[in-house]
Amino acid sequence: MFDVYLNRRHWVRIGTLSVFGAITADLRRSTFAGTGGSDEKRDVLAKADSCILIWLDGGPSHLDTFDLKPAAPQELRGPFRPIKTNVPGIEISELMPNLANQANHFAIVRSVTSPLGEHGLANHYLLTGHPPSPTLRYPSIGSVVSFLRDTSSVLPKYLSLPESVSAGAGFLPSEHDPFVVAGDLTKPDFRIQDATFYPGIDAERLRNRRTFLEALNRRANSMYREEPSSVEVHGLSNDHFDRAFEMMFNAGAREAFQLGSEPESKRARYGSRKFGQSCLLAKRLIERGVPFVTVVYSGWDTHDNLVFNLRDGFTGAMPGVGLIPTLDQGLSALIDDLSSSGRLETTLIVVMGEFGRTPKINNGGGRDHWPRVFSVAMAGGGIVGGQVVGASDRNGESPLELPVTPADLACTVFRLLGIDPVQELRTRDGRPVAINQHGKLIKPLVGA
Amino acid sequence: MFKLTWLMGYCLIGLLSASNEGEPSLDSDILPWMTKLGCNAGNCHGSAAGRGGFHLSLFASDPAADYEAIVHELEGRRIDRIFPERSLVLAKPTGYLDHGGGIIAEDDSPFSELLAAWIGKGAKRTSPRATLHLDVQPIDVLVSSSEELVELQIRAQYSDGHEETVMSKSSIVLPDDGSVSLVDENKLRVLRPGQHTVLVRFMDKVVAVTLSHKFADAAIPDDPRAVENTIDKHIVSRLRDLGLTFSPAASDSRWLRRVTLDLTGRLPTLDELNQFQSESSSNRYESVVDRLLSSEAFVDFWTFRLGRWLKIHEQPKGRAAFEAYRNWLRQCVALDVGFDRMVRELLLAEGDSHENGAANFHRLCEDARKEAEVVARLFMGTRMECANCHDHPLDRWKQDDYHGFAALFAGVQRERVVKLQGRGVVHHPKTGESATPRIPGIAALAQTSPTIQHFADWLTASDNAFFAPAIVNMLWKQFFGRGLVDPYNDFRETNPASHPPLLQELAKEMGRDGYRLRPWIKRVVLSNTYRTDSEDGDGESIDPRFYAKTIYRPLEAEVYVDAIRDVLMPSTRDDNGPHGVRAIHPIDRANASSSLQVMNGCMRQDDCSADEVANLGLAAQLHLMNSDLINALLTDPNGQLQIWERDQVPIHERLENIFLRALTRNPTTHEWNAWNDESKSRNPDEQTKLLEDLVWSLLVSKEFRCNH
Repeated sequence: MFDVYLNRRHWVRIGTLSVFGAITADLRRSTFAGTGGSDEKRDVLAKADSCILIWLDGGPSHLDTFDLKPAAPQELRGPFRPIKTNVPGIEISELMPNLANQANHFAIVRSVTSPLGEHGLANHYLLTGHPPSPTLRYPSIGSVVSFLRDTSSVLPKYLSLPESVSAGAGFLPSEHDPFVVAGDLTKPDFRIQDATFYPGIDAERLRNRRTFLEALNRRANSMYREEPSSVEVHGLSNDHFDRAFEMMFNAGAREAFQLGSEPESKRARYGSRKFGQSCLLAKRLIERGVPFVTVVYSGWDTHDNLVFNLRDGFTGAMPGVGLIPTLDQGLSALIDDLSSSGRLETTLIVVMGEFGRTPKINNGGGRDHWPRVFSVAMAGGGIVGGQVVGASDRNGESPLELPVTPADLACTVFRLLGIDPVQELRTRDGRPVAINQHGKLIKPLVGA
Repeated sequence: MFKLTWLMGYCLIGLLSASNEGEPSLDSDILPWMTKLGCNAGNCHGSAAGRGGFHLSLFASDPAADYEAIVHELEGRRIDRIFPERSLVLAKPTGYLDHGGGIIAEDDSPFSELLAAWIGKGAKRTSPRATLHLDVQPIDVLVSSSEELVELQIRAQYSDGHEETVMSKSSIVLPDDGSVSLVDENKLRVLRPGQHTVLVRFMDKVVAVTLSHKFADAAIPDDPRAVENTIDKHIVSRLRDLGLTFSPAASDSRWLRRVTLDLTGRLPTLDELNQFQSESSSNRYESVVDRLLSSEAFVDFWTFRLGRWLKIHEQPKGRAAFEAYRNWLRQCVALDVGFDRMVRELLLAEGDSHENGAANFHRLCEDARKEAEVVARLFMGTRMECANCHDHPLDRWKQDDYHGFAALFAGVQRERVVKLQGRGVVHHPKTGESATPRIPGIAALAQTSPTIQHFADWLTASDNAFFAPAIVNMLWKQFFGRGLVDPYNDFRETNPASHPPLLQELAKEMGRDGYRLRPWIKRVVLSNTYRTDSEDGDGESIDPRFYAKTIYRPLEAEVYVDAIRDVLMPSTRDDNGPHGVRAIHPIDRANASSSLQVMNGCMRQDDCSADEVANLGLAAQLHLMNSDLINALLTDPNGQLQIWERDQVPIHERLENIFLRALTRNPTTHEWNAWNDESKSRNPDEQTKLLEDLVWSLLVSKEFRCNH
């Protein structure tokens, strides 16, 4: 190793003394560009029209889902065994038999690494691709998509179901916060809050209201100019209630939320719980042109009793209805549906949480926070399925190959969605901030 | 080949030794350069976990630890005293070895040469050095054009008596928006009109330099409105400096709406409006303010506002405590108890929190550290959280301050019966030992072990530098939409006020008035600055920091909901049951009605910024459109619209009346036209519905949802 770098130093020394000085200096730079990222040309890939983020809130255990360590010592390997998938050489948890049959569709990144082991900070990092800063709240990936993407659909551009997600629009206008679909999705007649006509009000009357509001805001908008550099980003168009009006005028848009119109068998295939129904709703939304949906699945902060939380769900359940079987059912139904309709090719699915869990099982039979290495699964939308990218070490403690940062993940998602990650956004006070900093494309994921 | 390289290495050292008389110092040469190059920044080796296995203290706040990391860690492999250029700490940043951060210094950069020389001389830290004072000149400067360069002089005085110019090794942090650029290492060019802050960092000292650039060079004529009031004097003189014009005064009716909303959280009634407009005496403004200040509505509203500030909220099964706390606060507002006394009571209250309302303050936080953070934010306007894990990189706070301050609250028993004497310690994460209680920023006290009592005495003493400015700034934000220091609870040496002398004078005046709310408010709302118009005729947009005109401030969700009700259901206006029909009454945001939850989109955050509320999200828009909130009141049989309908009041009268109630103005020609266009071909029944639609639009319009 010493020789190598002395050689390099030697080369550069000679270089600076020779006519090739400039060239060698460049060579040296390009050697390091991969890590700094500054010289890499970062164009877009644009393979995906839309993205469904399955957010496993709380931090799912990599060691019990996508990166099992059957050869590790007893106190590390955990209660579950790996099973073979339909791709030779790839094994995942025995609690995910349905996904095991679809491994050809997804890629597993087993070397994601982050320094942040506290929920709030880690959430922010994974959901935005930026480490948290005390001075600036960065926008989540979905909010950036909402901000940049023009859609013909009148539906919100970014939704979160069945609850809100911790990172939102950040410094972007709050209209790019996810539209939260609350309510009990498992009910047969689920309807979203406030999205039906008030008794006595029809489209005609809403049109009158819109006309009057425009007349009134014309005056206010000529007065409301106190934020100089922010006119573009923080325009007041949303104050005209445009999107809300459009949604009300468009029966198709309102119909998107009517899970009741799905056949009972389909709803059952996704699983009767909120998570499965959220996946189904997410599918309906992206089919109608929504570019980004986050499905929030919380409860993964499993500090105790892995068997109960991850497998059983409640005492004596057979088969288990815990976190992993529920994930397996809903997610596999989603992948099935999208792949049979051909939509998987243009729909990026990302399955992740804010960190992994400690390799060593604690006294309560659970695992604590572990950001140093964890796994993320991705499918569709330009992802080359049927592969494992990167690796963790023997006990799942640290990345062994190809460490991937949350910034790299965000960069890859942006590029697949056709968004140039070096493009700059402006904060409210006019400061330019690159959409993605320090991230680089995870090449094997996209077959590059 | 190898020999050649080594030989060159020797030469390099030889050269440096000859050119550098004294030995480079780790503390005042090497580490400042590392800061300048970003090595010890939070996103690199300065992060809590370090980077690539190499951890440096954030911005070199702990040179002793950095010395250990550089010289001794990794079995000393980071340095090579014989062949300095083979040292990891040198070969990595210069690019000879893989470096996650890329190449950050050339071989012949001062940093590389200093570092090589220091390592060659044995990498010693013989005499630790601290900077006692960092002198930066100038720190506040006004330029007329970007041609005018501002030359900085930066000198450090060290603890060992030395003094030197440290220009080249100081870090100059420019604002990110490209408004200031650095020329020739020590000159600043201001590229854009406005006020900008540049930070100068050397060792553990940071100094903020304020650079102002005129908007226009034209001479601004004297404005007679500048002399009446402390506020106007400073605001107008700053505007003049910057070449900006002070907006003319708002119309009387607009001012009345503004001040009534600010003082009572209500719209002026038609009677109040008529009475005010019929008066012509010069003291009519003052008499309105006096009337509002002495009203019950003022007490209600400021209990609500201060309750939000203090984060008073109802805990599960905590109704009794909540009521006691609210009643205590209401009493303070009603009697105009000074902030100094209120805060002392909050800090020192003990006993049953169901009876002694103020004692609930200590129950807000789950532990001593959180309480210290909240106390610092509320009463000192400062954010100490950063200093939990490391010395605050942008302020004076050391880790010792944070944990020592937290230790003051370690003995608080946070149960129904609050006690301040219990046992408890806060462990200093560095030493692992219990932190010595201390008042932040005060190294040594007469008392060996200060208590909350000592802290309260110190905080509310008339010469305290934090308390009055923090309170003044919090109040200022309520009236002007932003703090003189902004964010309002982020006082820092590196976040200077927009008008420092004004803040100081207001703080002094507040002290003279016994820290009471009413005199302070009266002075503010009678100023010409508060009275400027919000309408911007020529469309010129100007940084709101200079208060050339009044900005649109969104109403609090509770005030907005109450205002809707007041416009549509005037008969229930003063119908206050024990829990009140008005939304401002239960100041508990966590348990608010579903409407408030939707409208308060930013509830989750600790501090909602104004524009979060101004720009309604889709959920709030749909709620206003399709929920009961407005729709039910439009058709309520006891509501104003239906009463008029029964009484057959002419439609145009209803329309004018509703505009006056909601916006204290008549409809414009344009608005009349919009109404006439839509209504002319309709029968009376349809016109009634159309009026409902117009009123709905009025109540969701920006003009109604904001104070301006």
